[in-house]
Amino acid sequence: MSTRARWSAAIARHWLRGCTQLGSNPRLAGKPTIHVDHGQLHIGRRFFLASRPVASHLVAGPGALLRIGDDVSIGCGAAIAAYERVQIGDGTSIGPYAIIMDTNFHGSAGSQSVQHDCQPVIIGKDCRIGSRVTIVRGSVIGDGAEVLAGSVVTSAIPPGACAAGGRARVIGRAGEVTSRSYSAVTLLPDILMASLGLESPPELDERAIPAGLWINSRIQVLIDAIVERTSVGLRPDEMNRVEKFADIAAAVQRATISAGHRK
Amino acid sequence: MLGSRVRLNSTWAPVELVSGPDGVIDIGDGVFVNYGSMVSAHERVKIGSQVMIGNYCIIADTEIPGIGDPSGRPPTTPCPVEIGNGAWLAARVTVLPGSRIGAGAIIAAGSVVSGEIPAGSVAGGIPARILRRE
Repeated sequence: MSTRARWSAAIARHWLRGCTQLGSNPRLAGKPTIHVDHGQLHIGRRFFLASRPVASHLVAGPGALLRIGDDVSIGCGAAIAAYERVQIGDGTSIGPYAIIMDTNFHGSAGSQSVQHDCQPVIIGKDCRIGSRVTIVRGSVIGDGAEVLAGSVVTSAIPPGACAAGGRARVIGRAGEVTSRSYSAVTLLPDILMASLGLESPPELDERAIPAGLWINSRIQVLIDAIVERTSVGLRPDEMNRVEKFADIAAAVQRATISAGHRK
Repeated sequence: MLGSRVRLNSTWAPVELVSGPDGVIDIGDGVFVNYGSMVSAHERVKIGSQVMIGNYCIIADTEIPGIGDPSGRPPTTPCPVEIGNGAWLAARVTVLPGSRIGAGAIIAAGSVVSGEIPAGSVAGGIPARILRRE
């Protein structure tokens, strides 16, 4: 380890001195605010936290546990607060301006006093949380899941899924929705609802599509609707192989990649 | 690489330009970047001339902007970003890796840009959709 790396680790340990447990080789960019008020803040090995150009803050309230695993990196402007329990698994990376809290800081509507009605937030291992994502109390994000930029997570995201939206819903499998197909895939649930005659927009998860719904005439209507709304062209033979809702998102992703840049 | 008459406003929060060991930030002439914005390149971020960028924007070619590792290794695979001449990004716009914004395009405040925005169009939302074409 070079002198410079040792020096920067020593500075990082200084700014993270409020932690109740801190693993080896922490790294910082800028100065974060660490506030541990009779709570516990555990941070694993090789932690990275950015605080430039906007400072990040980590808060553990009375009796609370904020546990951050090994190899976690967090972008600038992050606001992470535990008043009961927030857990972030090993290898998870979190983009800039993320908000992760297990409380909403007030009781019933109209009451202006600070109260904590907490529900723990659990984020699994190897998750990817995008820029400006808000994760509210009671959210559980499964191992390997991905949350795309700007989303608000309010409930459970299954392991290995990719979620997005103002109330984040599953829109495919992690790693299969890239920034190029993000727009097209987020339109899919509404298109599916209209073309397949569903009552509500479906989550594009690992559930099988009911056999009665997936008939040739409807598949053609769906392909036409997808071309019209997203200008992504799908081949009928590809759609015949689809078994699960997530497969449709994957097909749209493959079509956007093979088409290259389109207007 | 900065062009001439580039203005970076850092009054309330600094503007941060970061590039990794092989990263190139190419900013054209007469570009204006407002406070709190961040431009981060591990491969390539190209901003054309006369582009205006609002406050607290994020323009990065990796998922997490900035340099975390002392070696400068990118946190995720980078994918180049390009912003055309005369484009205007309003406040709190996030430009995701691999995005291309055409010349003269306008991106509404708070949007998340992913994929391609055609030249001269107005786009907004999460993810940004085209609201008006040229």
